[in-house]
Amino acid sequence: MENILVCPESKFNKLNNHLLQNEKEQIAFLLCSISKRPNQTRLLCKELIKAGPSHLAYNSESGAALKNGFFRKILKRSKQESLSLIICHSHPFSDHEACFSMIDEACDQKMASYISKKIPGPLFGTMVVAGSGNFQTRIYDKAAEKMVAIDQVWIIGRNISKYPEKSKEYDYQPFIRQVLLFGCSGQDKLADTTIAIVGLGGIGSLVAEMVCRLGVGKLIAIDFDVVEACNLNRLVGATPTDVGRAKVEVFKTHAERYSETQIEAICESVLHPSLIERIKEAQVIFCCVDKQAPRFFLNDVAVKYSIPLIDLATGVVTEKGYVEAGGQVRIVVPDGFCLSCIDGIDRNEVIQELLTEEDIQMRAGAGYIQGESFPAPSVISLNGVIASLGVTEFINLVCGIRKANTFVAYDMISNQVLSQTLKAKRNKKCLTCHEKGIRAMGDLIPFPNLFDDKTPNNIPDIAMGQEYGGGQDGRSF
Amino acid sequence: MKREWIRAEAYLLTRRFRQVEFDPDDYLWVHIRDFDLPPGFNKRQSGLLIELDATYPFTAPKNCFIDRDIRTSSGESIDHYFPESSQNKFFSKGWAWLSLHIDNWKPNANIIGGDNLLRFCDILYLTLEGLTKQRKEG
Repeated sequence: MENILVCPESKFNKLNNHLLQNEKEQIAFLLCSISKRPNQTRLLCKELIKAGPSHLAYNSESGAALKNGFFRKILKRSKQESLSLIICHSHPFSDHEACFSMIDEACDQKMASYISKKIPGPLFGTMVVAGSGNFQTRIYDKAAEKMVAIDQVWIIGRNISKYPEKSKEYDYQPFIRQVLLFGCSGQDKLADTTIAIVGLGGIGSLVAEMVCRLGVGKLIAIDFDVVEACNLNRLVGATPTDVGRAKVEVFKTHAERYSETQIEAICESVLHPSLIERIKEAQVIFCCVDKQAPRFFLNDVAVKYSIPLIDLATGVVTEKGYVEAGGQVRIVVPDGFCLSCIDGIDRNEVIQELLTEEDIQMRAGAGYIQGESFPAPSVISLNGVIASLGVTEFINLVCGIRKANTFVAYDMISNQVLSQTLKAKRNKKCLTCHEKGIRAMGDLIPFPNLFDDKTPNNIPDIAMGQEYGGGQDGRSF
Repeated sequence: MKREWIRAEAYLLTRRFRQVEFDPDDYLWVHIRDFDLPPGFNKRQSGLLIELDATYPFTAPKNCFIDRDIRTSSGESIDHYFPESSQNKFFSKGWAWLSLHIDNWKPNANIIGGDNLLRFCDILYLTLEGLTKQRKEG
């Protein structure tokens, strides 16, 4: 079982600033939710609580202790909200690698054993930060009844930093020309990254081609659709003989001829309830869909599980000789905006895409839906620009060449690429990502079922002259 | 989370309406029994059933239904109102579908700070008021 701590960069910086504010030891807490899979547990840092002078019984250069009341309050929250707890403290005197002292060793084990009995659900861990900024983190393994090191800490901002970095025996030869730019460490980071691409169409198949050639470790490709003849102008790896085959399978067959990337092809709608368990494995998600309901869902996944989401889209309008064409790359990271903050999801389209058969019949009967909808124009060169811009920002996010731009727009007519990163801001009142919403809530909140949205069968029957008052049909005030 | 939201919204609705109930299972509808109709209709009040998607409150309510015998006070039918069975999935339960398209639905982390069901009721009232005026002017 691998344990990972995922922390937004802003929280991690605030934690460090608090713990290393002076030469005295300081204490802080990270409250975390959990994202659990069979072989991995991610602790998603949701809140940082700093112990101020009034919360400390004492603190000196060689030790610090909390007042009982304050610690009890934190434990109570952990229990009530099922949030895991990581107690962090500093060793400001140490300018080398951080290590737990003998006192830490003795106290942590005892405290962890006690807390895990009192609060059985959430996990309990500790962190020590040295004056050098180096840190160690560990967690209580309930089965083994001992503290074990957390395998990796991911600090996610406009770059993803992992500590400690992993490197493996690796044949750099196929990547040697890009290693000249990223360095071996950049290549190692790519090889240690699992990504999910949702939508393997015109943009998604180009993104998939690029990430496989870059040498990412694992690609989870999700698309329910099959290849049609009209896709062949833009679908990477598809030939006329592939018409009728699943897009994800076609891409997998194509990429396995040249790539070492492990590819998992999933031919299913991303809205299928079982798929969240697969998507949770990703460290970066590419949203390459042309529908709004999956975009809404993936935005929720990104916010809830602190997984960076790279949303790619193109748009072409042709009317009476007038042409407008372009696209955009928008990146949702834990510290930044989500798509809902910037009105980046068409809410009415979400409703339309999720209509039940009965709703569609009702609208058609009333004359609101007429005939077939026309497909939008789609050209490989425009898709290629947007896919390239998106993958470039992915490289920046993972390899850290520079900070990723979280909003890039491309206008095909004026041939301009504009970074809108500074203009796109997080909305603190955003319904989706505000602090008390689903942000970093992990497995604590289930997703609504968008796959088979149903018509309720328990609505009040006024034809039968139903008496009011809740009763069998409804809860009333 | 949706459960708490709908409960809070229903509670908010009780500040204006006396009789409010909601779907206790999946939180897919809210029923107001005493929705005031604007002047110009054959009734003073109607029942109002608001159907919510799984994506609510991110998206606006999906459908709304009112009593099946609503007409203008001069006896004319109203636009976008479908009491017939072929255009109305809750016909058998006595409801008529009123098609109401809402643009710019902007909910907020704070229920009363953004669009909500109370505001939806305001929009519905204004829409119905507009429909009777259209009839008069027409």
